Amino acid sequence: MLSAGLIFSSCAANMLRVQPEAEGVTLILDLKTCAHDVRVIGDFNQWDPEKGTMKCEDGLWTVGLPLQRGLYHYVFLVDGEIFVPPDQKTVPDAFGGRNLILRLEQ
Amino acid sequence: MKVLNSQKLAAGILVAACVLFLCPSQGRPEALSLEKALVRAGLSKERAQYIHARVAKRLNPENQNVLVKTLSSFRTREEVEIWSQKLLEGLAKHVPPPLLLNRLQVYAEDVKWAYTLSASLLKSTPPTYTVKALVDALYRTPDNNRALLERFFSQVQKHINQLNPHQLAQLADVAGLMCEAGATQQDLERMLRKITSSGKIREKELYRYEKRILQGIKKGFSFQEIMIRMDNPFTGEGTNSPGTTGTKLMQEMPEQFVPGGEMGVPTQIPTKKDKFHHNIP
Repeated sequence: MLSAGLIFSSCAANMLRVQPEAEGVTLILDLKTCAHDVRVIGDFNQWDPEKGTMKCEDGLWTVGLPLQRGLYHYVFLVDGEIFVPPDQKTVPDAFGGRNLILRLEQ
Repeated sequence: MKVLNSQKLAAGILVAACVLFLCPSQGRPEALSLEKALVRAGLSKERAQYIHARVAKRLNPENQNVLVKTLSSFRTREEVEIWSQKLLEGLAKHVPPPLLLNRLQVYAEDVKWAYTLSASLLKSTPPTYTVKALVDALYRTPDNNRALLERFFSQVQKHINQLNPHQLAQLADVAGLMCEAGATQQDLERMLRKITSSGKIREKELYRYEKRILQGIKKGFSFQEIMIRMDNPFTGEGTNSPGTTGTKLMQEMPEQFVPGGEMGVPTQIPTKKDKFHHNIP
């Protein structure tokens, strides 16, 4: 559990930042590689890619998520492929893969 | 002749109408029953329609019937909510239907177990995130060892009179991480004794455990190796005496992993007002 603030992963290749907002969080993903379409799917948007479009700003892919308190599982979709940044806390997803975890306490 | 044909046509239409009236679900029986089953299980009509629409794109009526049967085993709406999220997740990840159905049936049992356990510990309806944390802990445990976690959490009840949902969820996180790293029941209980030595759960220490175990796992250390590094900063009674394997391993550890080091752990513990949990090393 971390207090509000900027949080970076320690991975050199890919960086994920989870920025707390007044209501929810902003996910900021620095892929350091070319990608045309990046989305986030998870419990917070019913795993619907249409509801998880991320914007590219200055090379960073961002999305704001107005979330209530709770535990959320999620992954990224980079050009249609599931992507879980390394060096993040993950849990098995019951289908042989892993999900990222986000827990909000308000 | 013309009149006769008209009469035959009218009779035919009448028969067809009767068939449709008597068997209104002839064309789409399973689709309707899934949606109804979701509503019967406690979901709103809109939510049930949404899930059904997603399911219908990927699963045939026969497969949908399997979902309906699984749904009938749930006792609470919370259980259905958690399970249906996993269903949507599987569909979004394009999990093949046979695997999806199989895993969802197993997951349903896991959710029911976690719900019952957390409700028992909290003596109230647990929030979704607490149940999910327990399921996650189960998934991190080799062979989904429910008995191991049940014994651990029974110790929680012995030590703590009042356990809030957040504490339980975080305990589940730590227990799950420890199991993933290879901890035994004794290891879990030893950790519990430390964090409850003051009579109540010390969230600060629990938080440190979580961060350090996560770091250790990611760096490829076994649970015992991780514990060697964790003992000293918390209790001063660790096994990290000179000449032990622990000392040797400690010398190999990055500086940030030396006992007492912060390892990226924020020095300021989150306040109740604005707690934010995202376990990133």
